[in-house]
Amino acid sequence: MISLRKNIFIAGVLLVLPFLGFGQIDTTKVDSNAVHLDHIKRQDISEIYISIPTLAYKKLRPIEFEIGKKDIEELAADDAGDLIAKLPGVNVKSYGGLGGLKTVSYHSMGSGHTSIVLDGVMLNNSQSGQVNLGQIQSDGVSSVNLNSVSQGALFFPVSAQISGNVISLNSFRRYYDRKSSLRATVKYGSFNRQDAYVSGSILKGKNWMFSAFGSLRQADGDYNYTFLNGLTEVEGARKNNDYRDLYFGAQVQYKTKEGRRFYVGYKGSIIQQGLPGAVILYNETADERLETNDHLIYGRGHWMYKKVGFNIYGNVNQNNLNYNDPTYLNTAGNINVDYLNRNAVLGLKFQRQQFQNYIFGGGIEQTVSNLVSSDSSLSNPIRFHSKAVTSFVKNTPIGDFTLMVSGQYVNENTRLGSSSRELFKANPFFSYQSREVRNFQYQHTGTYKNSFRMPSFNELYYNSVGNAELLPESAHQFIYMLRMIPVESITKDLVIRTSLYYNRVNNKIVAIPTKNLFVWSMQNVTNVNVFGGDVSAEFEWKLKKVNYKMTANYTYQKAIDITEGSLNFGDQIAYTPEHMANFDVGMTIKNFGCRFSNNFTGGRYALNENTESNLVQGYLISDIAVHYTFQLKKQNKFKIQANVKNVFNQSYAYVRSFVMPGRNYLISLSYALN
Amino acid sequence: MRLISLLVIGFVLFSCKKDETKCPATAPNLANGALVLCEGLYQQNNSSISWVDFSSGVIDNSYFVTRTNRQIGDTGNDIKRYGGKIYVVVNVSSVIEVLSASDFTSIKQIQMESGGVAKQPRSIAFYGGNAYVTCYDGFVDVIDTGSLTVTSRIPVGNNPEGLAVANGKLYVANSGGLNFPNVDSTLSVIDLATNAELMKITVGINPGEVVSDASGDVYVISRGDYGAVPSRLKRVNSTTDVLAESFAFDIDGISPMNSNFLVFDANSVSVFNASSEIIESSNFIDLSEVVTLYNVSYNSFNDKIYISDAMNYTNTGYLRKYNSVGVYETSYHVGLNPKKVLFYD
Repeated sequence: MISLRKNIFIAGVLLVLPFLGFGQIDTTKVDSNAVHLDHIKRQDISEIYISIPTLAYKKLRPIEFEIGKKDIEELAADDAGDLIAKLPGVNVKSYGGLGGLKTVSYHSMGSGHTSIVLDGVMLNNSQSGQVNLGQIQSDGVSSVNLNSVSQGALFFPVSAQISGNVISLNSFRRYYDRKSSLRATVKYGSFNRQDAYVSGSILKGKNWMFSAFGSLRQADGDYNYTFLNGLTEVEGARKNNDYRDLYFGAQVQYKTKEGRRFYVGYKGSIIQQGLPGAVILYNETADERLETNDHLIYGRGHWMYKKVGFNIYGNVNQNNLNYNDPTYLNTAGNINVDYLNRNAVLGLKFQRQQFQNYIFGGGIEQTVSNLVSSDSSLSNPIRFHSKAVTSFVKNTPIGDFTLMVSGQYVNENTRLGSSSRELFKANPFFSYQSREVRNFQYQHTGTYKNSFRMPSFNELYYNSVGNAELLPESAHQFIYMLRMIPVESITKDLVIRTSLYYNRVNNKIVAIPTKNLFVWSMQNVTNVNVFGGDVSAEFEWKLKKVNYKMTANYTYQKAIDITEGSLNFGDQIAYTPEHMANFDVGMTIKNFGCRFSNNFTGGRYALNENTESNLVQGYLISDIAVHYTFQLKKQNKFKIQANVKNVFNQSYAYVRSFVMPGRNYLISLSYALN
Repeated sequence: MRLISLLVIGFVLFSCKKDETKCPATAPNLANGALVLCEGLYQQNNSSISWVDFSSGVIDNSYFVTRTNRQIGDTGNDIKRYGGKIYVVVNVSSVIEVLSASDFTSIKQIQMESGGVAKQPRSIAFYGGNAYVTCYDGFVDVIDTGSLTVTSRIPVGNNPEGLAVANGKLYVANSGGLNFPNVDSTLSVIDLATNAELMKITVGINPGEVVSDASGDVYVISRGDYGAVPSRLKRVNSTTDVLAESFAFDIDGISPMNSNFLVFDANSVSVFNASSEIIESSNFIDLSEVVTLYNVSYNSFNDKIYISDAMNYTNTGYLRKYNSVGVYETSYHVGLNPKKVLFYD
């Protein structure tokens, strides 16, 4: 308890101190070009989740890429990972299969530097330190946003605001002007895949909204593949790839006359899956299994008080994981291990929306995490993590300047007493966003931010691999972004976004053999320089009764090992393709629509040594979607959609030896009321 | 539309793969050189065999692929010659590759599976027309080298590792490595006349490599716990089958050199006299060229010593050549994690 009190005290100090400094800034000047944000108070506060500069647009055009509801429906993604892979600069490392491990890397920074926020709740797994995007369902997701330079949103929890980057997923909003809504989808596809999803909401009186959802997915998953073995192409079937999940949840929200909103909800999942592992040449045995039960209870409240917006939030998450290898060659003849990971978060944020061309904001957050295992060698760690942030935006005639400072204090102990650590770090963030220029609506943003990620419990304490002496992995990011809209009319619309970036990652945490090949350990050994850029374009045009839409993005990234004395000095780090791209084109005619979707991932190295033998070939995967919507009475609609994925039946793997499926099919029937 | 065209062209260009077609090389003269078994890394399917031609200095790091058109698989663990055949033990792929010793063509791939479970073979030894293979599932498999089929399975201890023949018996190290840290500490003794286990001798925790000398002594390395308990060489008398001696020096590996042995740890290579059972030449090789000493092999055909350098275990390694008094001569860049070497005259 002493630790907790100490954490809260330090968090409070962190929150207040920066304000003392900002008190010196001259606030008497009046900026005639200042953006007037008073209209914010007329909006529902829950809708405000974009950073303040973004609100300046007359027509909301986020400076960063986003994927909308229609695109999401057409893509019929298996999971959030497939959606996120459509964002520029994002590299999703996939091990294949429904529910298989997918992790995100943005601008060549590891998954620990990118927060995934689902409906305002930051997803967290302190055990592995990364979120498996393959187990975040895409049903019900209405938008996906990249927020690498606009993290100052009131809606984001403090932990997301101060992390390296944020990718936010938003479920269908619940509107108070509709008494009820219902959505239902069933899908059937290759590998005996069967999905069912239903969600609905009911408005009670003017204030109470009840909503719930449930989904069930299952698949045999034993897909066929072709694989190049030396100079010989071989065929096989991925075994032990069965998957079954059940997601369910409910939420109650309450809105007052003044627009204050309060939410309480629960989300749960039960997942049972086989672990197919890598395709091992000549050895097709695989029988490991993983069962995951996850429970999340969350609550949030948003309200305005005298031009100050508040967001109080909290959530408790429990993740049970059972790993079973029934034929492990030890004396017992198997491995069966249980892990229980708990996280509790409580936070408060506020934002003074407009005060003489200044905008103030701040927040504090306290997290407690622990890990308990049936494996007696695990140290059963508990971590208290306090975070505080304060932000300050100055509107000037030439643009908006944002300064954000965050501080974090970590106190960690283990049951076995093998480690006790205490850490304090402060991280600055600075950005400048220009005024929008009328011609082509140019807008520039320049951002510097400093962030770090804590080592996960596995990295610190997992048997002999863990290293309790690990330092946090830190990152400096410099990002320049440009958004322009050269064409904007009722029939044509073109938005182009580009970014250039330089990142420096220090003390990168990697697993390396230490004493010998049997003894691997996590070490802070690598420093990486990342240079890159990406460009994206969205073009929509209407020709008679046909609507066309094209989106394309391309990313170039050079992530170089600059560790002094490294055998791979100057080499591209493993699993970082230099080139990545997406190109989608679609059309709709009345109720009919189709989409041709392409994802290109360039060659990458399986290990840090840039040799031909380590090169994993790039691939271009194309999907086709065709759909027809039957508009029924009032707000009822019924939609049928067919997807052909990997149309050209490419043989490919993102991760060496983790082969992906060939051509496969999915048919969906959806019903929506309101 | 021009923009779309450019993007489409871009995609087409990016999607072009490099030409991977390689013509199988003609078999080089397998003489005055070495086959180097490179373990690769777990779950990477990147084990390889290099052919190093000592005359020309030419190295073929894809030698197995060029001779068989396919890869060797995951984690090659042992390579030995018996008669006209070469046997390669591939641990994670769970196969024994049998190849011609003269032209390295594939003769048979023996699947090592039992009841749908991979046996995970580790090491191989030969006696009386049979190959004996330790399997991590707790058995030694007997393979008839004529029919190349598994004729019987001999139950031993947990996760058997190294093995050696002495005095008409087979000595098998039961590592118990998959129970770490509660590892095994025994050496199984198998009567080669009946192919049955006679006894288990306690030799020290985590036994690994086993060799024997001409006088019938069996040497086994008890690898300790990679921490507080050090790795030690133990001697077993194959006449009495008792643990006769424990040597006080650190040791990671042992390799025959004529009638003696080369013994090594991470920082030194010494000669161990098998008759007097003492270290004869201590730390006699200049290891300044070596990053990670992974194995030491003696080539009796040219009286040279070769060190397998694993670098950082994730970068391709080197075979480093020394003369018999430990003076560095040259290096050959080979595959990932080179270990066992099979020499040709």
